[in-house]
Amino acid sequence: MNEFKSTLGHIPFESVTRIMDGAKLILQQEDGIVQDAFLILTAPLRGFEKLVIGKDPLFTIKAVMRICGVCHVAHANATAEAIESAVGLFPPRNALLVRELLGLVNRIQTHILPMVSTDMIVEERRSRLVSLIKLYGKVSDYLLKLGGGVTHPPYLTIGGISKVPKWSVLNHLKAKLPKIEEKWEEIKGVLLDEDNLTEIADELRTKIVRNEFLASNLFFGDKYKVSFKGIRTIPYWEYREEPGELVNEATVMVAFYKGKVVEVGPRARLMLFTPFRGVSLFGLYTARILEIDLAFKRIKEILSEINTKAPFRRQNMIFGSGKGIGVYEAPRGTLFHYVKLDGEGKISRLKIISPTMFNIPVIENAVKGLTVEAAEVAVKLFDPCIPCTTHVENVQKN
Amino acid sequence: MIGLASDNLLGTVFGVYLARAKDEEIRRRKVASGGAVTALLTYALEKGIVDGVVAAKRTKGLEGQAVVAHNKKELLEAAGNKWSIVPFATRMKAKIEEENLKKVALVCLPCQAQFFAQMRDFPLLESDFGERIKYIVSLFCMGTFAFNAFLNYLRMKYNIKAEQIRDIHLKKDFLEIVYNGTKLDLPIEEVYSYLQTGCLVCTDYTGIWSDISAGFVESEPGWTVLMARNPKAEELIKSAEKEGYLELKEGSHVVGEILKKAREKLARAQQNMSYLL
Amino acid sequence: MEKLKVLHVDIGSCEGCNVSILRALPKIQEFVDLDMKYLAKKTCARDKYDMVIITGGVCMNEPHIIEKVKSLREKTSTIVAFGSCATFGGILRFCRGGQEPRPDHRNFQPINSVVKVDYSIPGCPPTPQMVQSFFKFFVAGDKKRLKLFKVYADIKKLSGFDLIDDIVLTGLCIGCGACELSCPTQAIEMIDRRPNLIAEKCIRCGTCYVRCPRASQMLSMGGRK
Ligand SMILES: Cc1cc2nc3c(=O)[nH]c(=O)nc-3n(C[C@H](O)[C@H](O)[C@H](O)COP(=O)(O)OP(=O)(O)OC[C@H]3O[C@@H](n4cnc5c(N)ncnc54)[C@H](O)[C@@H]3O)c2cc1C
Ligand code: SF4
Ligand code: SF4
Ligand code: SF4
Ligand code: SF4
Repeated sequence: MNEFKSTLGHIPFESVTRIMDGAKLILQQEDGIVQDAFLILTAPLRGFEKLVIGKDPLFTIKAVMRICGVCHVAHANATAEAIESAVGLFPPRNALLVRELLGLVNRIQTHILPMVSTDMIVEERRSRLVSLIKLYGKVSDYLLKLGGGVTHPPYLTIGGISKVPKWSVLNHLKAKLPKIEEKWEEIKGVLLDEDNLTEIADELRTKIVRNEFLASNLFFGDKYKVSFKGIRTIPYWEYREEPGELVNEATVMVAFYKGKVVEVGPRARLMLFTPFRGVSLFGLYTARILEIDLAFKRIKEILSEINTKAPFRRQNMIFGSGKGIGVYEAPRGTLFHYVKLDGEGKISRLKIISPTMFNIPVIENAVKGLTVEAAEVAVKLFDPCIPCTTHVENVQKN
Repeated sequence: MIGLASDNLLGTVFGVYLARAKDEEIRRRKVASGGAVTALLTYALEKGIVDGVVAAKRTKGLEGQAVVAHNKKELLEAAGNKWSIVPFATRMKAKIEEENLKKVALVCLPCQAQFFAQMRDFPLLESDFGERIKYIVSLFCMGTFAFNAFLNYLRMKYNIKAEQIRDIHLKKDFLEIVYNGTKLDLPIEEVYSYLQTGCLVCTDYTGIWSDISAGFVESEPGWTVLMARNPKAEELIKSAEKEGYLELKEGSHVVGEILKKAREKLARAQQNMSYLL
Repeated sequence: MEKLKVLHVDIGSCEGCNVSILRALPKIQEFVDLDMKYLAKKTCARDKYDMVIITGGVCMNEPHIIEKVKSLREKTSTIVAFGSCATFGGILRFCRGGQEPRPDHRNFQPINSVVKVDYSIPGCPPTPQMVQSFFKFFVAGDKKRLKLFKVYADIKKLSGFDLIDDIVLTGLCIGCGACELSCPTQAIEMIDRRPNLIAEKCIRCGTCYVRCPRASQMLSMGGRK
């Protein structure tokens, strides 16, 4: 590691951010400009793909939710779809609606967290972002009432939704929505007001990054639009072999789609399915805001489509051998679950491709040429989903 | 092995009173002792201090079911003792949510009081409803029956059938079984083995986790002992008196009697633990 | 009054627990000065803290994590294990390694397998309100209420299976239904007044056990598991 001199100086993150222990962002800089970047995730690997082997589908869905306490619904939805298609189960329409709704609520929650990250907002206005945490609480109620829990919602299960929501509860949630949206409109004003934005925001605006995008759907996910076979994954240390001391501790795989680096996530979805054109890195920020808007609209539609008189879960489920794929548009991008069940209906294989696996190379490329300060912010805007680092190791070229 | 601390058996005690309902109608009903619990809760309901009372109503036989009472009439229907644990928890949650109650009082046994108070103090789950529980009233408790077994015993030994039993009262140290217009007194000792095993290792007589504990003592028949465990509870009892719902007298002289019972229960628990576990 | 100086450290949770702590922040700010990597703090590097809260379980195959946890013990007189992964192992109890790219990450243990823990707060995840209550009682020095959490701090494993073994199969269950109500995965169903564990749904969070009045009374009476 001769050409690197590592200084463990802390570069503070002036914010609430999900980037924390368990990963290192290493920026190699010259005169304050980033030349190269390593995003090395080192969080211990709990190995969910292995721990479900031999287990029942009902356990599997409870387990995969616990991969992530931020986007639990995404894993539940993907695994449910994969297992159901493996055994030829079709959940009733209500179940699909509730799953989509819970997913969108979860998307709003997840998008809020990096927004609370105040890097984009000038110091004097940051206090106004506390209302984002309150908004988080307000939307959480939808998960609690319809999913049975704010985190790892238990009613999400194989075959549908295990508890039928009461008509009165649904009505109550419907009635509350406009107020919550109003709050969001207010906060959105603060988030987008030019006067509130920092210089870093300006720098990100000038940085155009053109990537290949991958997304399957604007809201839920559509496995027929993407190809699971087209994905290849390799360990991080095969993707970047040098310097060994640095990359060898990585605990993550990197994914490519049809041989290419692809960006997944809010911006990819909007680019592919709406007229949105946020080509600069600032577009990552606006895309998230726009997605929250769209999520609220769709939630309203779904609430009026749920029919409490119709079933929410399939009866007489029979589990046996089969394989299936589930694709869900998680908050941070396209999520794939592939399962194989054995003759007893137990899991014999699970493969998960999570959005950050696609985005790691994208992130490393995108920050080149930015100032160190802007690079950190840019990484957070991509919102890598594996716990990441707060301290940036500031590596200078000798 | 489980060792038991014998200190502080009664928990925090703020004030002890002997109380009974002023309302004749309540006293005439088959209340358990002085009807104070029913009267106190009637007060809380009628003054809007709580918007619902969760209590146990007798269903078939001697068992109970959790119900929400909104007024005196419904409370009266639930007065008196049910001799089994009424599995409250899940049903109560559904009830509270359905009716969107914001401040409930609940009557339960010490073990349940412990659960609810722990839920209120330590909301581990988002789906908890502890913040909606305003008062926890715990009845003193010497145990609940494993009902099938107890009824079967009555049938085999005394030829009393379940459907003939009208009521069971706890008196001094015997149970009075009212059936077919007659009565049978059963010494507590005789029926101990029909208590739930879990009750035999239970160490809490008064309900130390409650806001208010209620029971009776032999020396003051016709009165209910009320123990207030915090200022909030004290205030409720005092104002129920002021508003004419409760007749109240100072009760610190009966603490010794309660303590004696509590010690007995603890001793029983210790003894049973030593051979059960 | 001086604020309590608290450090939060995550050693590999799913972040559900962290979000709970974060969400409690507006309510505890008043009396707690929290250093958390999420927050706008220059450093998380005091020498001493009044309390360190740890989320996630210890990966026993990563010596640096074990070292880190041990070094935290030096920094404070009070370690709080927060969430089921940190207290009893939770879902981590099922980990068995073998997954690329780090098949060597095989074994995860609760914090108290590595260092002495002072308070354990189980839950998957415990709620923000729980964080709030805990600090309230801690600051007030309410020993009676904190006692249970102290008792759990010495227990390494607690789950629905233990509840069945210790309380139900021994006949001590009184049929109150508290466990059914408290299970975050609906793994417990009351059948004829006794809980039935749906084994495949249990993720070993321990919530049912700590909520069972029979179990918690015995534990808080000084019983040991
Ligand atoms: C199983 C059991 C054992 C008891 N053991 C003792 C004892 O050993 N020593 C003692 O001093 N007192 C004991 N009591 C309490 C005592 O019998 C009276 O309930 C108490 O004195 C209150 O009297 P009251 O007239 O004021 O109650 P009331 O005005 O009649 O009100 C009683 C209230 O309790 C509710 N209730 C009754 N049974 C249950 C139940 N199983 N679960 C939940 N709520 C219920 C009723 O719905 C009613 O609201 C016991 C009670 C029960 C149910
Ligand atoms: S003796 Fe204890 S466990 Fe049994 S019902 Fe009474 S309080 Fe509950
Ligand atoms: S206890 Fe539950 S919420 Fe907390 S880290 Fe573990 S799995 Fe996540
Ligand atoms: S039964 Fe439920 S509450 Fe108990 S340990 Fe298992 S998952 Fe947790
Ligand atoms: S909480 Fe304990 S006592 Fe109550 S039903 Fe469950 S196991 Fe039985």
